[in-house]
Amino acid sequence: MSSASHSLDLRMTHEDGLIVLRAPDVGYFTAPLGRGAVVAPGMTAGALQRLEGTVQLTIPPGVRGAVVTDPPERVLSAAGFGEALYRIDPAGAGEAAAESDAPEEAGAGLVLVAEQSGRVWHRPGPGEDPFCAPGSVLEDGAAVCLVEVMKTFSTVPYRPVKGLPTRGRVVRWIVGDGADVQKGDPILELEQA
Amino acid sequence: MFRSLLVANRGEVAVRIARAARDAGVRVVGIVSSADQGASWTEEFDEVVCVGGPAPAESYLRMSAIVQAARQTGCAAVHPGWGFLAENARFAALCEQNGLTFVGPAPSTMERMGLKWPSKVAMRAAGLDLTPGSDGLLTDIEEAVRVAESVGYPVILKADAGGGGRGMRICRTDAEVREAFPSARAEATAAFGNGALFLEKFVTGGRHIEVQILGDRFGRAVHLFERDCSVQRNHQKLIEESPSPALSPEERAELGARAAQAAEAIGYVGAGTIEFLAAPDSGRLSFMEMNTRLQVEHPVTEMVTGIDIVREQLRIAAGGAVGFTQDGVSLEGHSIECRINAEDPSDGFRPTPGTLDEFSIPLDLGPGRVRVDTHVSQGAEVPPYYDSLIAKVIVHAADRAQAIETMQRTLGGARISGVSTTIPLHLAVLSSDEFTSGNYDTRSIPGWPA
Repeated sequence: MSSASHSLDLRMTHEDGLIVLRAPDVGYFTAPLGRGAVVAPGMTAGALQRLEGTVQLTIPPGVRGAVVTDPPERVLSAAGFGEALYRIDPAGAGEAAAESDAPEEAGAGLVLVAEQSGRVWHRPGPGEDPFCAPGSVLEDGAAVCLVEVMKTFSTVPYRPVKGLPTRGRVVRWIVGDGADVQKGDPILELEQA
Repeated sequence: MFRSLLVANRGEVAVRIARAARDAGVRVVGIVSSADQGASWTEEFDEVVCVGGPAPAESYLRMSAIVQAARQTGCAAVHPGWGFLAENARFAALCEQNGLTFVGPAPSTMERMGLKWPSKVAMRAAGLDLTPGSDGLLTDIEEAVRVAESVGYPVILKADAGGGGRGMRICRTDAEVREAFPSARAEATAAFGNGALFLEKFVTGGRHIEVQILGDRFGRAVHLFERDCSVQRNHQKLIEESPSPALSPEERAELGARAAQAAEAIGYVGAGTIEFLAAPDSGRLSFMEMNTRLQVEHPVTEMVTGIDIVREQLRIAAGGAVGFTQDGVSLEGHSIECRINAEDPSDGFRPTPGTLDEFSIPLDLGPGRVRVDTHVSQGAEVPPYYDSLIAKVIVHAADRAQAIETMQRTLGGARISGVSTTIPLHLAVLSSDEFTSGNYDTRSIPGWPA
């Protein structure tokens, strides 16, 4: 049972003029894109926690448009093979589609990656507000999230290193609250603030 | 008892297990391939998870996807049914590793019984007779020839890891043994990665008689008498019955007791079947193999004993004891099962997938009782990806003659169209003198031209 790949394309079908993106395997779907997100081929669109480990879900070739469905309420949402995860309106691609011709581009934005393997928590504690959210501006030393490694929690600070700007604005969480990450996995997508 | 159970199978057996589980108050989760999604039989489940594409390798054989499906639906146990992963020790181990109870024996028992020679050694030690042959695996051609001469020709070379006839050679002379040995070894190595061979006297004809066993964690095993499965085509069983017309009451009691004793000796837990070959001349019963799972033909045993074998499997898997003693098991009347396959018996048993334009089997034409185990109904699709079994018709009557009569009336009144079925074959067998006299063997199908 080898599954070396770290990403899997979502499966695509068409329905009522919309593109339906479906789970490529059985697992917990997490870190979904929200309604209105604009997608392009190669972009990461959440992750699937399978028995063998977590894989990033990517937008398959030829798919551009805007997400017109809400993300699941649960952080870890059980999905079967072929289950619809997103509906995409190709008419919603707009300008973003035009500028993201290169398949790599969407995934090649500014990302903060995990320095160690563990479980990522968006919040300092249950019921509290997350450390940051889309739109938040992060400066050197700002808390980004907690990472839990062998029952020990530590705060992950923002550092303007490895190509990250001095001030970064959060675009989106790439991993869900409570998701497991491996060292080097992207956690947060950012843009220059 | 488990709160939730995942059934790692499809079709007829999945429905059978779902019903038993529901009767025991267990919530049932099913898995399907994308080809089976939305099929009417999936309504038997409380929840269904699609685990992959149509081909078995993409879905029903995907161990990790199935275990993940069990985890994310909150199941505590997995029932493998028959076929697919039912005798896969690695799957059983993967379930256990992930905190799921596998409804079957321990992975180590499955592993041992899955190899021909280790299973024979274990069963010989447990007191069962083996077909005369080599004492263990053969080291070279000379040993093979020596053993063949001592047991007498014809003999059969078999691969230790064998299956599907690969690595098997029937030999009638020394020269044939010398010729067959290297090629059988090469074939077994290529097919199974294991070239080990052993040799047995080749028995033509004879009867296939198997004993149903239930063993529990407390070291106790009981038998539920035997089934006679001698009506076969290419080693595929077509008709099964219980009791076997070939055994006297004394032979029956002795065979059952020996089988139960053997199951206890190997610490067998769960439902299993010990298969024997009855020699054509002497009637001597030698151990063939043990199937570590529920059998397709289990209903005939349920009919004559009144015991729900799937329910017992669940009880035992949940840590319970077998719910009765050997004295509490009695055999009443006679039961026969006919497997209705979507195959055309007049055209070399060619599989005939398609849509069931008509599907009805009468339950009330007597004189005996009729039970139909099936997952299909009128309008259902029979997909081309899987086994051709669409239904099993099981009858139970006071004696064998009445059971045959009930089966004839029932199959004669069945209306199935859209696919071909094996019903014409069954009707021919049921009316043949060989079958009605009870005097038939595995060599040919009684009443059906070879």
